[in-house]
Amino acid sequence: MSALAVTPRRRAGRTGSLVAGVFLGAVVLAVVFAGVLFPGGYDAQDLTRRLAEPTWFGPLPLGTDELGRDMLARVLYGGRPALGISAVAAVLATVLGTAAALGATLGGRPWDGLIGRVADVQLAVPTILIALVVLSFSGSGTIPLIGVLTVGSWVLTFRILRAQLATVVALPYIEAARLAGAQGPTLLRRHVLPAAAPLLVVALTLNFSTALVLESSLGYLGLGIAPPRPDWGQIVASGQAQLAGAWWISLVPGAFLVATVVSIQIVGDRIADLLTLPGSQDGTR
Amino acid sequence: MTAVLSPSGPPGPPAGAPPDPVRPARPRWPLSARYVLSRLLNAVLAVWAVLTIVFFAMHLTGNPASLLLPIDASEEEITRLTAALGFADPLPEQYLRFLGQVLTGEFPDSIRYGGDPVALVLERLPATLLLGTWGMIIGASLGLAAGAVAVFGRNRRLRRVPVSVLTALEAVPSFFLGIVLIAVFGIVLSVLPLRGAGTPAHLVLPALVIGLALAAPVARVFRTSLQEGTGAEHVRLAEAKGIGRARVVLRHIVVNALAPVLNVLGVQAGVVLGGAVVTEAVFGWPGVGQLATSAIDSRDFPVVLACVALIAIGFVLVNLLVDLAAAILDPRGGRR
Amino acid sequence: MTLSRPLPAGPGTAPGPGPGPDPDAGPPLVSVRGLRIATTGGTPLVHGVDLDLVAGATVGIVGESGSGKTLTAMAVAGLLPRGVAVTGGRIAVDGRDVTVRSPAERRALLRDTFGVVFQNPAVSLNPRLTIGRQLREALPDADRRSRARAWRRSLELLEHVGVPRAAQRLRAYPHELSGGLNQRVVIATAIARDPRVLVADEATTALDVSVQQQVLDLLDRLRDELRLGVLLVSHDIGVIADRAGQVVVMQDGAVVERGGTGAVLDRPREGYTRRLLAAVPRLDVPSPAGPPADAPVLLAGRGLVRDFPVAGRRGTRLRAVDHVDITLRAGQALGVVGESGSGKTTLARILVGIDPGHGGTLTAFGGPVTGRVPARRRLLRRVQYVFQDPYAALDPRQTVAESIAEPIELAGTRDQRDRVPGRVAELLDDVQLARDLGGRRPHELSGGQRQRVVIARALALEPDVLIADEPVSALDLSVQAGVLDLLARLRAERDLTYLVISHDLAVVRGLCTDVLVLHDGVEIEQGPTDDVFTAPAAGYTRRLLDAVPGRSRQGSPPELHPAIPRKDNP
Repeated sequence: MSALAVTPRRRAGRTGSLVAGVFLGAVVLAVVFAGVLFPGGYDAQDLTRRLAEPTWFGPLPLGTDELGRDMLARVLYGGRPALGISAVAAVLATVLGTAAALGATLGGRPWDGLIGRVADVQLAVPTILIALVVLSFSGSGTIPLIGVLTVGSWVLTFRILRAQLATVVALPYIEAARLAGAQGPTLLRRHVLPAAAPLLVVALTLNFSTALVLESSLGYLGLGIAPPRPDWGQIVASGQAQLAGAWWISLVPGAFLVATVVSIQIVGDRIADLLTLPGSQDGTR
Repeated sequence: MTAVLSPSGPPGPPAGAPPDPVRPARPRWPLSARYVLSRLLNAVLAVWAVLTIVFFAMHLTGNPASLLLPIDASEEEITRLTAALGFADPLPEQYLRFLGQVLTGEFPDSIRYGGDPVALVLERLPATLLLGTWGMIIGASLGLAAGAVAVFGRNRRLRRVPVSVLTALEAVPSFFLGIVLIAVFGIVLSVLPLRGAGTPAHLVLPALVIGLALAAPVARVFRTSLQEGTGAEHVRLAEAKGIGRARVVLRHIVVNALAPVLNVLGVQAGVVLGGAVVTEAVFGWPGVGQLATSAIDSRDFPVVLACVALIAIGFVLVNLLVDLAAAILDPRGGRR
Repeated sequence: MTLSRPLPAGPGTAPGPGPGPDPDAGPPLVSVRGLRIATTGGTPLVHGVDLDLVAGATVGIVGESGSGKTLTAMAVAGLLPRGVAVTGGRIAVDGRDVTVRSPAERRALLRDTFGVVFQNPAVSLNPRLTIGRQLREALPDADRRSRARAWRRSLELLEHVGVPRAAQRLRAYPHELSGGLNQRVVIATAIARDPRVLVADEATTALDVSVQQQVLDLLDRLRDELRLGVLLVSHDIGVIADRAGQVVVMQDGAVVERGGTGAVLDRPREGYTRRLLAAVPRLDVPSPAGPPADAPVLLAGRGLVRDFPVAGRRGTRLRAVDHVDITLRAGQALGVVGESGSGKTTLARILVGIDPGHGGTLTAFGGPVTGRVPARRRLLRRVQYVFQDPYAALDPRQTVAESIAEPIELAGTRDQRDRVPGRVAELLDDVQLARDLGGRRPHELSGGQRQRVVIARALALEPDVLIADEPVSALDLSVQAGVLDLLARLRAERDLTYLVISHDLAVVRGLCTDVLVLHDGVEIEQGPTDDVFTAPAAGYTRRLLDAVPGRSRQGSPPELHPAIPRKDNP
């Protein structure tokens, strides 16, 4: 069974992926320029407007929390650690996983065995456990978080790519290229990486979305970015107690999180589809 | 290479009298002792590897003594506490001591509760087992049902819907899914309790959250292997035998498709356990996961270690069972 | 194979290939009139096939891929895949029209009338269930219900189809048996309900020739003993020629020609049949003459050895190539023949330097070839390789021109690199491809065109030696002939030296000056093709030659065709 069978594939049409792309772009821009949009920061309290309901298109579109803080500002500022840490971890995990897969494929039997074994063991430890241990001993912070998320994501990239590369490398056309004189880097550049490119995009976006989910879960558990800096998971947790009276404190940032995760996956799959050859089913033929 | 395993050789006339032709042969046990042993050995190695990773993750990330003390604690106090906790000893010595603690189950006393951390964990274990088991049952049933509908459903358009819904729900982080379910069923509809444990009603939402995280991959894998099965030549041969359609589907397609599903359940056992940690926090479920989270909050690292060791062992055990069950379903794996 | 019991000398058992229909035999067992098959989307696949099958006779359907031969046979047996349906015509069994009956009635009728054998025994059986359980499923209800009766009947069936140690095999799983044995098990399930008709869809295509011969002999024997009508579908004209009394030639979903096998194959009326027959490589043609004995030695291997680990058995190793000596002289075309697992491809890979082997010495162009793979390839640059499967041998992302240019860009001399586009155009001319195909990608080409591209790429560096691994086995017959002609012409025009790997003896006969016979990694014999094929020294070679289907139609030395029944593989 291929590792890919376990990963979701979202077949969104052109319109769907366009919507997802526009949403993702808007969220990223708004998060990056949160400082320009809300020069007052995420902590501007105004006790006169406590627990204001969302007006959606008026002032305070997402309402306020129990301290009268603008929820839109908190959501946008909270996206900074969520998206930033996840993105860095996703890139690191993809690079690490790709390097491991290449090493296992091209390095010969001992490397393949060693790396595969490490991946197996790593997979035998649920990521959340590693996170619990590391974060309980190091305390929360950006660097340990990135480390934990990277460690938790690289195995999936490794497995997907390793399976794909094993298929590709066994194909006669790779051998034909060797016979034609291609070696090492030339072989990689001309034949191996192009065949793996669609999967690399899928792996990157998948890592981004899983890292984002894990990051916000840790935030929810109180192991993420420490307050007063806001973070999506942490905002959701803070609103849970007031779910009956002020539902928006929890549900609106959570909805943002879900929409972002789905958009990332749709955009990734769309790019992968565009990179896949016409007339081929899996990118290998 | 088949020739090595079973000489195809041209059959000669059977030498000697054939064995008693009247008595049917007993069915063969599908697992060889050697296979079971090798899986067991693998499981022990996996537990050891997990514990080693945990140990080094712990030591790479710093000294908890400084976290345990107030920020203004003096250098001297930190050194004294570090020594008292055993963190000043050479690393190999600490590593051996840690393995010894796991083997004997004698961890240092809990910092917060003062007692034996293993007892604390064992006390919470039944709740987590209950939640995990129901989560697995719900996830497997939902996933299998959705996968089967996707392949055998009559309406070409509608039959895709269940898998799509599960895949969409998969993108929702467990903690948020839990909160949405609480909002809908606990607050708006007021039919289920918001949090806590004790009655079957308390179990519904947390088990559903865990199950939904598990259902989507199960559904996809089941769907894929069912699709492969319906086109397989051995299924056409079974149809040619003239046995009923229901029997062909059940015996030759569905049961054959279960082995990959079991493998997914094994891989996803980590998701269930991780999900249990988060889900227990969301629903205030008094299990091992919640113990671990609160132990981290209070820097009660002996309890953290005991929890982690136990969860890791549970994970490896689940995978061992899954491996053996999958090998029974696919004899090509289990007889080597 | 063992004929465990003497053939009954019934009235229907004529010796030799299947008897023709007896005009007085009454109504045919199966009668098909105007059969039309289409996809549920409406694309027609088979238009108007007529077919008659009588008890005790074999009717062959022959055609290339896409001819509709398998669909026709499956429609008759009521086993069309989903998405494809009969849209017109009449299928009658014993004079009763099955197309007008209710589905349940029809299935019951078909189930008791037809037994089916599929192409690939490796996937025809459920890997999860033992042979015994699968055989039991196929038994009539009365036998199936009782465990003891089912077991006794299964045992009888396995013994009937020549499976030795049947009691033990009932408890085995399919992956524990060889392909030939599994196909016998499939045949046992096919006859489990005492059917009247056996439909064999390319039933021996996946098997080696000697096993193929045994399985076909078994089908013949069952036909005669059980008075079965056999519908034999094959792309292999030789198989049909040997086994079928009547033949139907199909092309593009329609019948081109029909009649007694001898009449159709010896005196074809239609142009398509003539072309198809002309494309069959023949065993009775003289082989090209070899170079003089003092021609320089280009490649020489001494005592070549290669082992492979056996999956699932630690420590056990399979010797794929076992101390083989091989010499390739300039101007030779050396055919390496053998069955699957004989080590012929491994040997070729050692000779081209992509497999370092485990022992022996290799010299090329007078110098020793040693070291790891890249070093070996540098020494063997003037040896190039043509791959078996042209679908997988080209990078789907590269255009034809890019594929052909790659060796020049990577390993060519400065002169060659300076004029890549011109060189690519020349090479396309050489392999008779239009120059404007250079911009296409492989998925836009046909199988024959792809193989020509693969050959052009192998020629790009102007090699002295071309090693071709089953160069035509993935291609349809008519395409095959074109590629073989091309290979023969290139050899003559460019003084190329060939090493041709093939399981098909006829391909080697027409193309190669010399031949090397391998079995289980060991050299059996070696010599000029004509000598080896007309007077084989080794018993194994003789049996291999004897097992080639289609010899009944082709002239061959009389000593290879004794009047007494063929002796089976010992």
